[in-house]
Amino acid sequence: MKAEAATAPTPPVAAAPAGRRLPPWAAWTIGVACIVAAWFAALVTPGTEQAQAPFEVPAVVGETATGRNLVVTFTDIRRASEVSAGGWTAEGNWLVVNLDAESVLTEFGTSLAHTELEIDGVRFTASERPDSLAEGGALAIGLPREGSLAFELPEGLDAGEGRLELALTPDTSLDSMIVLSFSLGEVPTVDQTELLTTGWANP
Amino acid sequence: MSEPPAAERTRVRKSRFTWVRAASDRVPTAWFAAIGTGVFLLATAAFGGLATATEPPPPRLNPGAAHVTDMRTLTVQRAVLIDELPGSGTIPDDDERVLAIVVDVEDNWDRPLRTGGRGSVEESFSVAGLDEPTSSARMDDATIGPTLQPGVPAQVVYTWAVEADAFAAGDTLVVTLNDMSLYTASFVSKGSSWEDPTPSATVTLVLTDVGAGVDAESDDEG
Repeated sequence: MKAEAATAPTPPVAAAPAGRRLPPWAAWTIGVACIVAAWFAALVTPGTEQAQAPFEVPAVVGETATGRNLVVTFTDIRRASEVSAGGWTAEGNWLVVNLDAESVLTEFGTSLAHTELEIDGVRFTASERPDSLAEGGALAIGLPREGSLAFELPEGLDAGEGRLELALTPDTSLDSMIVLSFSLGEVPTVDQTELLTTGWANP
Repeated sequence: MSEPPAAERTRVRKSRFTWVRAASDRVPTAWFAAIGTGVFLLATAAFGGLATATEPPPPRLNPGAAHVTDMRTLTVQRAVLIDELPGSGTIPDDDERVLAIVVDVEDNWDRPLRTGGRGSVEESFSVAGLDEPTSSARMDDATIGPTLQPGVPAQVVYTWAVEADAFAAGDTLVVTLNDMSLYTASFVSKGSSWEDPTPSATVTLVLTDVGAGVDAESDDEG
């Protein structure tokens, strides 16, 4: 056996032509280049936040903004130091919007569950203190409901970039979100304002 | 009178060195571990042993003093015992009364905070001898379970339905005020929440009994 093994002819592996063979340093270089390329690919890959971001529908006061499941028309926006609704009154730094809203696909579970206002990174939710659209019932298809949303802001907050977001579900990912962008400093200010009674628009 | 010769100084230094050397040479190597252990135990014993050191009790605040954390500023004002408190969200049974603690609270976070429920202001304090509050409500307009907006202060009354004879006027209530830690969820869940209440101060309240209390409490609400 030993002798056989010793005398066995070398397998007929043809040596690759010198010109086609990669130089010895190439494997490492290509490996490192792949890792660097993968790193850049990971950098530009959107994270969960971006990949599941809501589809924003920009809105303008006075124009209808149509999302997948929600149609909203903002009709007025103002700030006031005293707000009343029905028998309820409160003082403070209030931002009030009036809007018409209707649903598109279904009338089941279509209340405005996400009513948030972001001003320079600080988030507020529509106040539940007055009767408003924030806890108004379900929206209807084709028949807009009108009402108001009131946001209670800290004293002294009178400037900044505002973003008012409306959506039908508390989790806004991957669905329409109506977004009204405005500058808080440019919002008209009144002394006293009243919220709309939630009801059918254009009765 | 003159300095010792250099050779003698060398010999003195050398002899000191050799003394240490000779002493350590006489100690069997195996003893070093035992000696080290003994020194460690003695040092441990000198500092009170391995028993858990008693933590200093959290500082005491007076009623009306603000407790400020990253989450909220909470000022415990007073505690009252009352037959019933309409609008508070707590409806006592026939053999029950309402124990109410009035607090001033302001959201210090950059998002709204709830007054009750998980990760809310309610978890940032606890009262010895009582479970979670039955309800919370705003003092000014009786909104039940209100949400606090960032930077907007509010006076809130937390209420418990308690056995009618469980508390009496003059009883002291120890309120523990907690620090909370902000956790940001990752992986399958998302969002941020305040968790892990850690006691950081106490307030002692003296309970006042306002009886049927309608007049007294309407003064407060007015």
